[in-house]
Amino acid sequence: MRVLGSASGPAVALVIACLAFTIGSPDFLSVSNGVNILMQGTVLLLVSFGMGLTILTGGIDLSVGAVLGLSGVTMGILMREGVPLGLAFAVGMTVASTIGLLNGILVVKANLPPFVATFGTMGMAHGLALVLSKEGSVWGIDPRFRWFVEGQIAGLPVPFVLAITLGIFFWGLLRHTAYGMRLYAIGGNQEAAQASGVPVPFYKCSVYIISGAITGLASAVLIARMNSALPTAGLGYEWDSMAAAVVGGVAFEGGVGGIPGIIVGAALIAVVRNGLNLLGMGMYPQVVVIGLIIIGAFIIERFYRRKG
Amino acid sequence: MVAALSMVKISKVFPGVKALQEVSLELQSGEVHVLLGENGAGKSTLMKILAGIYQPDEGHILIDGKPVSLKSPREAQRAGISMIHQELNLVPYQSVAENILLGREPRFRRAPFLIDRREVRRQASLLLESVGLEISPLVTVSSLSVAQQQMVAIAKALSVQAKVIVMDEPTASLTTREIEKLFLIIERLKSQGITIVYISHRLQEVHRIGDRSTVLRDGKVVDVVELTRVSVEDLIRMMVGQKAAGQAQRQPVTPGRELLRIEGLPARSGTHDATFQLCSGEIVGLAGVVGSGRTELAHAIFGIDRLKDGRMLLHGKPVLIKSPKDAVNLGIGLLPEDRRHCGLFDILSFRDNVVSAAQRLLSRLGITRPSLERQVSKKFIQDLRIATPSITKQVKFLSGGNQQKTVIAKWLCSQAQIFIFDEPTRGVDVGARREVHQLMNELTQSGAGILMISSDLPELLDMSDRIYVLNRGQIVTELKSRETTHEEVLTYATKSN
Repeated sequence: MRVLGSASGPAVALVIACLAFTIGSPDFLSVSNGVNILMQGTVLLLVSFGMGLTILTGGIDLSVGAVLGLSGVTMGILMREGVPLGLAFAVGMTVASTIGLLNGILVVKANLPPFVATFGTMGMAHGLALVLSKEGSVWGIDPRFRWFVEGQIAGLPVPFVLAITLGIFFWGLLRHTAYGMRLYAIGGNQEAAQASGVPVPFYKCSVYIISGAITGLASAVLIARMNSALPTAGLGYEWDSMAAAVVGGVAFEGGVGGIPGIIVGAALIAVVRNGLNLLGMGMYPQVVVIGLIIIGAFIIERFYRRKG
Repeated sequence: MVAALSMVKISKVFPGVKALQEVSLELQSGEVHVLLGENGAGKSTLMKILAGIYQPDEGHILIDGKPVSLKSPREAQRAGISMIHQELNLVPYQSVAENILLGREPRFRRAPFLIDRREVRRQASLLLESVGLEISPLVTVSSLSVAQQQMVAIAKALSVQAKVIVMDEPTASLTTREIEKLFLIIERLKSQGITIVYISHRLQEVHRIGDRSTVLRDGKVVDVVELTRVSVEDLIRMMVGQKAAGQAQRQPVTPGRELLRIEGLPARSGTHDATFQLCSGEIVGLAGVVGSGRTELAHAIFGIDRLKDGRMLLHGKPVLIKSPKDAVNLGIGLLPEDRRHCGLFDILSFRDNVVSAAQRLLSRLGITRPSLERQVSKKFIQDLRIATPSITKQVKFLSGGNQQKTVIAKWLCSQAQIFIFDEPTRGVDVGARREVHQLMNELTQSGAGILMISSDLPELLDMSDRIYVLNRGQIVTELKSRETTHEEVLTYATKSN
């Protein structure tokens, strides 16, 4: 429990949810379903890392869902047209990172509120994805691309390795580098960070680039899993990743939260979605449940913060 | 001898205000240099330029005789200038150690991208020890008292290898014992050749710790003095100076019945026997330096904060004011210091502002009555001589003086009897200032009582009938404005306990 720190609350909720679904559905506790949750959860987790970082600095990145679709479609089209797999992947990553950079510039240079800036780029990215894909699924993903879901590194599934590696990377970044410490400082009191000589604009811009880049990586996993690129595939991820971050203890005001919490939060959202699927609940009622979880997490968090 | 740091003929203009005019400041190494001046004299602006937060319009800065340009807080820090801000610049959710070393975190030599947390802790502990603060460097800042946070801010300033440390009101929240500790630290820094720029309103304290002083008034240097050669009274005289005229005369009204009375307020003797009283036809001033509790008292009367001690009587009857809504319903109006944000709805029309606090009187069954609102607003334009092209003009386009009059109209419209004027003429020009003063006279003639707060002491003395002087949350004395002097008020307001 001590390792999880502020994430212990959602961790308890995660255990309870797992127990409930195990009792509720005979299929929940099985290897194949575990793999299923992992595949679905990895995309969400990666996106949540980026989202968490932006919220940590007092911002937000609403464009992640649309970028997920756009960079997936970009990779898909290039592969369909016979562009080498590595190049297709690199171009998709570049597109995603560029939108992140654009978000950062809009926030830092044009001084737009992050909500507005990323709301605008969300629309642009989504529209662009629809135009490029001619409003339909892009087929013809290079079979070798399925490595992102079916491959193994050291006997472990690739999504699992990705989640673990990036989790450790971001945890180290936040906990053990000056970069991470300064992100917390900016979120906690931007004036103080500025007065301490931290170049605040650079740091704020960088989190949006990171968010874009990691969303690009997540899109590779997503199209590999679906074996096609759908321009609308990422919609909803902005809300689920926000939910994961907030449920995991990242404060919307910035300056509070961490990677363990985000991991637990993302796992909770993924498990709940999966479990409700198994119980036969439709997509739309699930949205209601996720909404309830977010509100519940908020209330609990406020309650504990007031108590100190 | 070359000065450790000199600011030469610095000028800075903000829209409508000449904040600094050819101000020079020369600092020798190892001295405690006191920067004196009333609120608005230009001390903060000058220090923000030194800290790289503002850029001067004219003038330059020399360190050890060489010109430097301080384009950002980071560059100022690198040049050896460290600042302890009045509004403590700490990150609430981070640990004391992280706060102290923010911006220059120690790294591992072999892996310079990783923070050496043990080293962070070690350095922070040493710095905490040097300021005599016995707390763990791992606790979060938000769990500390204000005084402890102040000491953390000082430790943070020491962590930069600073040549010059600026302390802006460092003792404002410290106890006598903590102040003694701070003075010991200052002595030690002096002996290491570090220069301290010390800003404080507490003149006795300044006289004790300082070597030389530069006195500012209205954005200009009045004098540079050796503190051993001048008295506290001399300093006050230099700070106050002869204020320009340009305000209406107070036309005293014979006080009528009592409007407001607060009993059991903290008094000088440590007891709770001070009484605040405001009668119909009176203007009562609250004097005191920033942080003395003036604003807090006014806020308590208006229901923004709760009164810590004491009970309030309105027209002789005890009342409990729990919110501004209660205050408004009881006939109290506040003209806040920051009128653009707290006094007006600046994108709404003049009319909407005037009626905004009076819908309980103007509307019928919750439905507004536009014709009545128009009529009322037009009447106030005439009565208060407000220059607005129409009642539908957005108030953000009105001048400062007319905005202030709009706030007055709002409270007249809600039938206020008690007016709290917080810095009523800040940021308005001389003509409008006279108009606002004239309106204050007229309000009292019609039976209202005014509680006035102003950092502009001559204005407060000229416009009020009586003055309560506050010092560290206590009412230390009550003075008749006609019979007292700036010097006497300042002496009471700045006296250390």
